[in-house]
Amino acid sequence: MKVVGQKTRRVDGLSLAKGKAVFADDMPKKDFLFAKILHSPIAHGKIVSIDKSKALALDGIETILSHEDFEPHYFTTAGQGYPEPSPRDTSMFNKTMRFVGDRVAVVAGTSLEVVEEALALIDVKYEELPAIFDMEDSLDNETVIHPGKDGFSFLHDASRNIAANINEELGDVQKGFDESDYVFEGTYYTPYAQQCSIEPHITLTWLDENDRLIIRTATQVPYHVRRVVAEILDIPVGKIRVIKPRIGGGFGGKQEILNEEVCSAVTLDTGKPCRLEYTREEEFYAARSRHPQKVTYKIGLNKDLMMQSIDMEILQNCGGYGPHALTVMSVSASKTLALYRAPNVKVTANSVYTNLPPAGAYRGYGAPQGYFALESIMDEIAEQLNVDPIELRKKNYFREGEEVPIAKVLGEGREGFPVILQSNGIDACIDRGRELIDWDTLKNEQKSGVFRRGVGMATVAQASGIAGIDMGSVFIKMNEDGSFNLNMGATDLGTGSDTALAQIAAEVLGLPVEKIIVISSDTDTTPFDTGAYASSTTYVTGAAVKKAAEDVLSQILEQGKKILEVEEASIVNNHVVSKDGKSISYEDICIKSFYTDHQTQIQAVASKVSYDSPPPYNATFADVTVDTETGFVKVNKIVSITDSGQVINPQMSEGQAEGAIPQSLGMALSEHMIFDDKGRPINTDFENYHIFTSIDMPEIIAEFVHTDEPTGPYGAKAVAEIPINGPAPAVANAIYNACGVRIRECPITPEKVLNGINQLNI
Amino acid sequence: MWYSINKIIKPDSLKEAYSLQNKTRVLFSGGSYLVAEKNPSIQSLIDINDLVGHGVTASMEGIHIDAGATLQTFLDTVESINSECRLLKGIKYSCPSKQIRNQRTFGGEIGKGRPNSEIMVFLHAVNAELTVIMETEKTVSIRDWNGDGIITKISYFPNQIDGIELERFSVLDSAPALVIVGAIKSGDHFEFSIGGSSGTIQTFSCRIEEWSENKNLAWAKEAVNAFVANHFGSLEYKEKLIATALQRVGETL
Repeated sequence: MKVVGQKTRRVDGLSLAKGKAVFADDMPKKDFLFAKILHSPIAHGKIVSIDKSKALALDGIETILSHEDFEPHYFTTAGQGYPEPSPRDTSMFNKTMRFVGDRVAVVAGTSLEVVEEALALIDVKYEELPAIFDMEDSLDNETVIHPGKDGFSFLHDASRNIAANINEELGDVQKGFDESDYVFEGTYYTPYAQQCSIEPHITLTWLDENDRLIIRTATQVPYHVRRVVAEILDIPVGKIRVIKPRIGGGFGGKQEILNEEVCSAVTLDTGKPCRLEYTREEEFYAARSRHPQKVTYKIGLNKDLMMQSIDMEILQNCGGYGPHALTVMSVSASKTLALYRAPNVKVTANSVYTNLPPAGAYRGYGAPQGYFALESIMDEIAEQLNVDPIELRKKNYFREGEEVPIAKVLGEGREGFPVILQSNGIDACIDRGRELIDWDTLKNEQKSGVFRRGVGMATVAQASGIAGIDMGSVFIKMNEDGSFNLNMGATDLGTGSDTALAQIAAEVLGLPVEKIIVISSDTDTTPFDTGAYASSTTYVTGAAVKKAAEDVLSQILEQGKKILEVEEASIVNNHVVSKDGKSISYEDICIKSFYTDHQTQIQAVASKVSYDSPPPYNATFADVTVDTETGFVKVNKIVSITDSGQVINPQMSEGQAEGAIPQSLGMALSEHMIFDDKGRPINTDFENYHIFTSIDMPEIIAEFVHTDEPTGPYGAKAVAEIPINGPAPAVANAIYNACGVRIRECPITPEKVLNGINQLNI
Repeated sequence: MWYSINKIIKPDSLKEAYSLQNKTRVLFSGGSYLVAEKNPSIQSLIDINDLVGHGVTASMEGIHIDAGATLQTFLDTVESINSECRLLKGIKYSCPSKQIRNQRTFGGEIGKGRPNSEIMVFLHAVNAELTVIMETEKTVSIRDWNGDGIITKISYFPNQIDGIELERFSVLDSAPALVIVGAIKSGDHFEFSIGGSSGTIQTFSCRIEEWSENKNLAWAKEAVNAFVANHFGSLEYKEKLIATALQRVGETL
């Protein structure tokens, strides 16, 4: 292949490098109103009264909107397929506050300064209610966070504070344990963590010359934004246009309808354009984050080390509202239980409400939490049985040709589709990683001294889109210079998907990528796409691109034959060439087709819904040094080897791994959102919430092994999420290898490590 | 700026600037802390940027830093003369972002007085001398400065010091340190300055021959009283870190 699998300059690279006006906020805002949200200072309570008079009296304040200005309408902020599997438990402005940061009102004015002043002048009186901050206290608590009300839907059991629930069993798990030679059990914890996109949530809205509402927003889901805003504000979808410009990162945080409806409401109320941007602080408490989970695994094995039974129990904290409450924990289960084969499998999961910020989608979408537990307990089992953890894993993987039963049971909020593995490069990933980390030497070397070095590993799987739900569609048309417009709803959130998809089109059409003009994510000018999430874009939309490009190629050939007046011809080097040597270039075919011969526009549309979702695989190895006097952990090296099928763009795929690894290292060692005893967030800036920055990064080796996935475009599978699943458990396992301390709760802070060392008395 | 700011005052002299200060009027030079905090009780900024110097002069006899010199100016000036200077590393830890180092002044850094600033702990360890304007100009040890007055110059004297060490413990290199210990060896004694997630920077000293692990443990026990427990460590843990840091810098010196 000439284009697929090759390093290619990003289609948006030059404009980004030159600092062109490409992001949401990069436009003149001469007449824009500035809007800010007034957030709840209490974790749980009812608004008794709101006095806006002093704020409205300020010169420059145009409007203040709150729950009194709207009929209650319940929806979910989760940007998911329709009908959404998340509970519809949210309204634009609530009378009841359910977390510190909940929306009280929006203030819009002519400057940010006057709006900030107005926020301080709104007098809100609250009746405080008892609050729940610990997810383990939530279930069946006498305080009910969402007491039953008309309009709510899809909540599993509001009276018990359960937003969503899963109970599934394949085989007979208890019988499997009874028949097992060994049974192991462990409980693992992962906390709230923030996506920390460099660009916060930002939305700009205005009315165009036809009074249509234009929403320019940093979103991963423009079509869901259009549908949900139309529903909330009760206006036709056709009256709304959503434009997604370049995005400064999303990582799931922008798979949410977060402020688009509020900004739109201001514009509709005032008739004026409006801009609403979150601060970094608001990102921490009023946007979305990773769901905290408590995951218990119980695993039964026989003496031959083959698994007999797996029982997985999840308790998840979804915060004050339930976006993604069901599907995140569903993915925690379905992705982890798709890695190892056991005849008996059981999942019990509850997502419970608390009076903390609502969590949402975050890269990996539940899989990082699940894999921290699974790959930690696999290491513990290997240790206790005195076997090599790699050999234990290799004995139990699902293999090519095998069906993964859990996939059919756990779909996206409903029954899924069968997965029969047609490509699986896990062994190659492990073997390459083992070599690059120098596993056999470092794992077995004597550990002594103050600074002790250790290695750990984890193997993980993910998926390639959501089978039967994710859909991509594209439109390709030909231009006179032999270039092609590739219009698609797919959302490039900084990942480079526009480039990867252009490469697929270029490969089919036999062109350099420069000949493909990408226009994406504009609900007026590009066809429908469910959005950028679930590692779907390359696999699902890529297949649609390939299909449409093949249709265009076929039309070019037919049109060329007509123009050449021949029965048979083929395409060679951007020309249609007949057997007798006559030829015509792409350019001439298009010009003649426009103006003189057999006039037509060469164009094609294609959609793709996949009922397959082949798992990509990854093996991650970590090399760490533990300071046994302080408990500090230094990560020396991470090796991440991924099977993504045929890699479309190696450079960008490496970038995906290199971006995911620091996020998972943060999960392992430094990141957790914390709250005081009133539910108020404590660490809402980067001085107090520690993400891995460039100066903190260890050496990274990110490589790919080649497999050929028959259901994917040119053999491709997904790459976006999978590299985030492995580093955290690999680091936990490496710490154990270094100093014998097993920490089952992220982040693995130095104090936890030192306490463990002290208990071991080493 | 932010909504509560309604006036920027440009005084003619530092003495005038000093007399203008109160709770609603504060000094403004680089502004990196002020802008980050956006304190709504502040209504006026007293711009002293044109009234303080911005240079750094460095020799083995003395390092003299104008209060208006940015952290980056110091790095650019000193790195080529003495790349081993411990303060260089301290500056990079205190302020990892070059963009902010280009803005943040030494005067502002000391005025802010963050105990978790490696710069502050270093300057305490070397007992830097501050030139301060109040009604009159005077010099004062940084350890004794009570925050009153406008700093115009910071000086310290490497030739009076036989060795300097700085140890920090932080969750990540880019994160503020939980514990920072700066230490000097001068003549027959050690001086240790301890900062981090504490309310103040404390200094302890002893004759070298009196220094011991038990002394470190005693100092750590005393010093930790100024610290706060947070999500990255209890006081018991921080006491342990302080003792370990004291031991390590002492052994290195």
